[in-house]
Amino acid sequence: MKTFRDFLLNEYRDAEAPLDKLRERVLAAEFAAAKNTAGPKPWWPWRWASAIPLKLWNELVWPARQLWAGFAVVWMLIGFVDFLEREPRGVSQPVMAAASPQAYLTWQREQEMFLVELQNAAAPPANAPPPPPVQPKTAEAAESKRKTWA
Amino acid sequence: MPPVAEPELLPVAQARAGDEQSWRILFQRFQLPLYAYLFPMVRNEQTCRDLIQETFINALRHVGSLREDGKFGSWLFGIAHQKCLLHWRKEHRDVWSEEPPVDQPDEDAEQPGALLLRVEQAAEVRQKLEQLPPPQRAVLLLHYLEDFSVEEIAEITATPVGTVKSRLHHARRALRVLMEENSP
Repeated sequence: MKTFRDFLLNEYRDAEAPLDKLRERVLAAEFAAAKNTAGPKPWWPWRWASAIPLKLWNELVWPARQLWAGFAVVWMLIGFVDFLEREPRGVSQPVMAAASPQAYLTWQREQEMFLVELQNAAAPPANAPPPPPVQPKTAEAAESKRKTWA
Repeated sequence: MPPVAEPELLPVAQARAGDEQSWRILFQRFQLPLYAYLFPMVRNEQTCRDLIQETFINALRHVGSLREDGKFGSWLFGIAHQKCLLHWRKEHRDVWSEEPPVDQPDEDAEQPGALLLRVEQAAEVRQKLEQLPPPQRAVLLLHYLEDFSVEEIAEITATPVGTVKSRLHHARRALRVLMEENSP
C-alpha cells in the first residue's frame, strides 16, 4: 500500500534530474551575484531616501498609470490651447524696450511732471477753512442737546 | 522519497544566514513536491520548471519575509502558488474562479488518505484530479502532497479558511463521483 503522495512523487521521478540541474544553476547564479554585490552598503538614510521614489512609483503611480497618463494628456492639451491663444510676441512687448536713451529720458521727465500735477491736484487749496477739531462723542452729544434746548 | 515536512529538521535558520548548503538541502527536499503540485496545475513541463526556478530565486532573495522557520514549506508553496497565478494571468486565463458556487462544508469529511490509499486506484485518481477545477485541484494537491492543514492551505492560496474547507469538501466529493462513474 502506498499513499497518494508516494504515488504522485513516483510519477514525477523523471523530473528529478532536470530539477537538480535547475537547483544548482539557481544556487550558483544567486550566490555568485550575492558575492559580487557584497560591498559596503550605503549609509541607511541614503538607502531609505533612495527607496522612496521607487516606493512612490510602485504604490502611487504604477497602479493608477492610466489615470496619470490621462492627467498628463489633459495638461498637455491645456498647455497647447494656452500656447495657441497667447498674443503674438511683438504686440505685447513694451515700446520702451526698443526706444533710444533720449526717448527714455523724455518719457521719464513726462512721468515726473505728471506725478507733480497729481500731487498738486490732491493738495487742499490754501484759503480753505480749517477742519473742525475732533471732539469726543460725549462732547458732541452735549453740544447737540444744548442746541436743541436753545 | 522526501518525507513529509519535518520543520524542526530543516536547516532554515542556517539558510536564512546565507548558507548555500542549507539552501541546497531545502530545495532538494521541496523540488519534487513543488513539481508534483505545479505540473497538474499548468500541464506543461517547461512552464513548470520555469515556475520552480522563479520560486527558488524568489525564496533566496526574500527569505527575510519568512516569519517562522517552521513554516518554510508552506511559505515556499505560497510563492509557487503566486507564480502559478501570475502565469495564468499572463495567459489571460481566470482559471482560479473556475469552480461551481461553494456552499457550507459538512463536518463529516472523511480522513485525507482514506479515499486515496489504494495504489491500484492512484493512477486513476491522478487522472480524475486533473478534471477538477483548478482551485479544488490545488487544495487537494496541497493537502495530500505535504499534508498541509486547512489553515496552511488558506495561507498558501491567500483564501479564507472557510473557502478552503468548502473547496476541500467539494473536491473530495467530486473526485468520489468521478471514481464511481468509472467503477464497474
